[in-house]
Amino acid sequence: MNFTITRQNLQKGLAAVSATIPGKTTLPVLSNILFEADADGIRMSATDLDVGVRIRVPADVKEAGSLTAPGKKIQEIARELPDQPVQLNSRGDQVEIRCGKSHFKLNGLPADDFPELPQVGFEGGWTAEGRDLLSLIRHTSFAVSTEESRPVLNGVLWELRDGEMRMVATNGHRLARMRIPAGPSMQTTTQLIVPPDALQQVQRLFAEDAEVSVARDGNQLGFSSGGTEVYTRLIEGTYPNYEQVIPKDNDKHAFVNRKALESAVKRVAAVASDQTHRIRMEFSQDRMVFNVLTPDLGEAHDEIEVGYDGDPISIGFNANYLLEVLRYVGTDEVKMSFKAPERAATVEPMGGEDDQVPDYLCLVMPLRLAD
Amino acid sequence: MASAEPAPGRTPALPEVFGHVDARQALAAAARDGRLPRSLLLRGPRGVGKQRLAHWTAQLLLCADPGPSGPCEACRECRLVRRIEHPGVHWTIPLEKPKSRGSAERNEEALEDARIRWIEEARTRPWRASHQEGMRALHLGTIRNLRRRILRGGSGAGPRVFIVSDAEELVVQEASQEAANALLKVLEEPPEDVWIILTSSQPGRLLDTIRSRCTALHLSPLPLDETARILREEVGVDDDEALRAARLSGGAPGVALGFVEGWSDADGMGPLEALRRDSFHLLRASLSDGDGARFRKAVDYPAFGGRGLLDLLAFLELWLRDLAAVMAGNPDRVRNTDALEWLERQGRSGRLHPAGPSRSLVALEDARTRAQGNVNPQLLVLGLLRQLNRTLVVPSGPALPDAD
Repeated sequence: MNFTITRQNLQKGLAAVSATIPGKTTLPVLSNILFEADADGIRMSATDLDVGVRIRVPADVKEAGSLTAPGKKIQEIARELPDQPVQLNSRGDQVEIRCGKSHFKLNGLPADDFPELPQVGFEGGWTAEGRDLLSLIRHTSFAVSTEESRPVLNGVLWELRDGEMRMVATNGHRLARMRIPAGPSMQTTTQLIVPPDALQQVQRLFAEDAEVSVARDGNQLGFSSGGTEVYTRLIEGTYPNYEQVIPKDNDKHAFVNRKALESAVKRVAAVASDQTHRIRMEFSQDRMVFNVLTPDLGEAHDEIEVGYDGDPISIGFNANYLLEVLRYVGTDEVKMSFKAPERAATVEPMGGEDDQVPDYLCLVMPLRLAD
Repeated sequence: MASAEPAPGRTPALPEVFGHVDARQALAAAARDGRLPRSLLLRGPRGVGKQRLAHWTAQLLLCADPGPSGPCEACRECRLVRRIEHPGVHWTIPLEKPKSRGSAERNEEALEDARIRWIEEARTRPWRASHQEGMRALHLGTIRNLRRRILRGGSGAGPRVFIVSDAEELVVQEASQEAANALLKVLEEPPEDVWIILTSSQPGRLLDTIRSRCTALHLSPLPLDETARILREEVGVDDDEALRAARLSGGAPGVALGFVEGWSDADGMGPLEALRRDSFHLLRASLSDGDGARFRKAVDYPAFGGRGLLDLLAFLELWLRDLAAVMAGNPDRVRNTDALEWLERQGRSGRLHPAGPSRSLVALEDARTRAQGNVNPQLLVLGLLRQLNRTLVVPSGPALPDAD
């Protein structure tokens, strides 16, 4: 293998794949990046066995071939190289790097040792607008469960049906759901449970204006756009029927300024219990009163103005869950809906008549109040 | 610019498999017919090659071109398994408990770090003595890491093999019942592409529920001459030392290595040789007339960590069996041949009860059971030595030759 590449292209490729290199591993080859040179340029790949990333970058290939080289080291070197063409040349299991007067030899491992990334045929898949895909991921993946007891909740549910794309994530205490109308090209109906680590790579590597091809093969899912590919295994299992838990009959609505609410919650949460993070919120005519009482710490009282004309209601929440959903709701005004203190509350974005408000809903389960 | 060293780790980290021909044939036939049990227990004496056979079985499952008698040893999969670098093989071993990092998640991380370090070291030493210093266990965090890896699914097509070495270490106090239960859940229903292979030299210590979920395959010791040949040809031990170590090990190459001089990180006698000698002093103290020798011997041990005595007690059993063999007129069955003369003198002295050595095995077994719990080793040793004295020595008989 022998090729010459611009420093920028080398760095671009390394930056794309190196985030997938595992920090700790029992398999030395996973610390390496696979370089494959052919007539069309070079491909760089890295994987942690859960997620794999491959990118094609232009290069002047003198001799086709492949080799793996230590990812972190090559990245450290590339970062400091002068702005001149970089030549990479394999000699046995070593890779030689030359740039200007700099010259390095790094021990590599044979390309054959590198785990094969899944073969996913993108021609049988579907395409999604980068903007839509990224928005879905950004708004939902935070809500994924980190508990291992229910593996399906460790992923984001991605549904394609009824002419729309939906993503849903929950940990059983709070849930985020977003729906976006699918383009006319989307004929597929499918349900996938995607690990958030893979979605994080998609978010990092694909631009808003990209057209992303997506395809599934068995329990593997691939994303591809502009020479960059992300592969992941899917989480197997049946996602719970989330529609069932989204309340349809919440009849008490409060319209709140998001920033004011966020600040008030943050203030009173400082006095909340470290275990439960419980705060009490009381809604009455155009007022929202916050109360926190933590016996061994102290108490807090606060209030803000809201648009509310329903019956007074007092409801408890985990302040962290509430703050988390408020961070992603995005609009200046939010709508909170309730039915009763022990029933799930929802938070939705609100906008003016001309604003494009996303079809986004967050659900937060209340905490029982002691009195 | 200095030339870089050649890349390490290109040679197999696992030696060839020796012996166990029948077991290998059975495994190869089962794999060929697609009926290799999903949960397998390889049991047999320590050091006979159970872990090596577990990796060989993994190779069998992953090999691109397996033959009628086993894996091809030439394909990429075989090479990677032999180098302990195959992404489809996950090896879990008992480890010393790392210093607490404050939370369950971080402790699990610490255990995974320790496992990675252990495997890195294993790659550099194809032959290791079947003896580990310190208090090792399959801790809850280790099993949770294993379970997570099993349930997370594979990166692609192909089987995944999870090897759990010394599975009996699951039920020790440090690992808790919870660790065994966590493993139990995956043993019950391993995912479709998963094989789990447990190895154990003390299957009796495994939970019944774990034993009942595995298909057991017993591995016997190797012939002594084969063990000696392995030491000579594979490890480079000289003839006499190889034969002595093979005999002491009873046909377990891994144990035999522990008797070979200089075969450990420290120079000098092998780690098992040190234990063998120590256990000999225990036997001498138990035969001694007064309690003084027994007290002096007992305080040699630390005041906590009873499990650290288990290896020592295993060697004491060997000495008692040798004594029994001599007293029954079968000196050719003695394993500690370097002490044959001493053993025969004790046998001839007329002060030992003829059935004493066999009867004393009961007391020894009792001590072993206690050692697995939370006991003070000093008290345990003192109690055992007194018990052995009562069982072995005929009261008011003639003085024992050279017992103190």
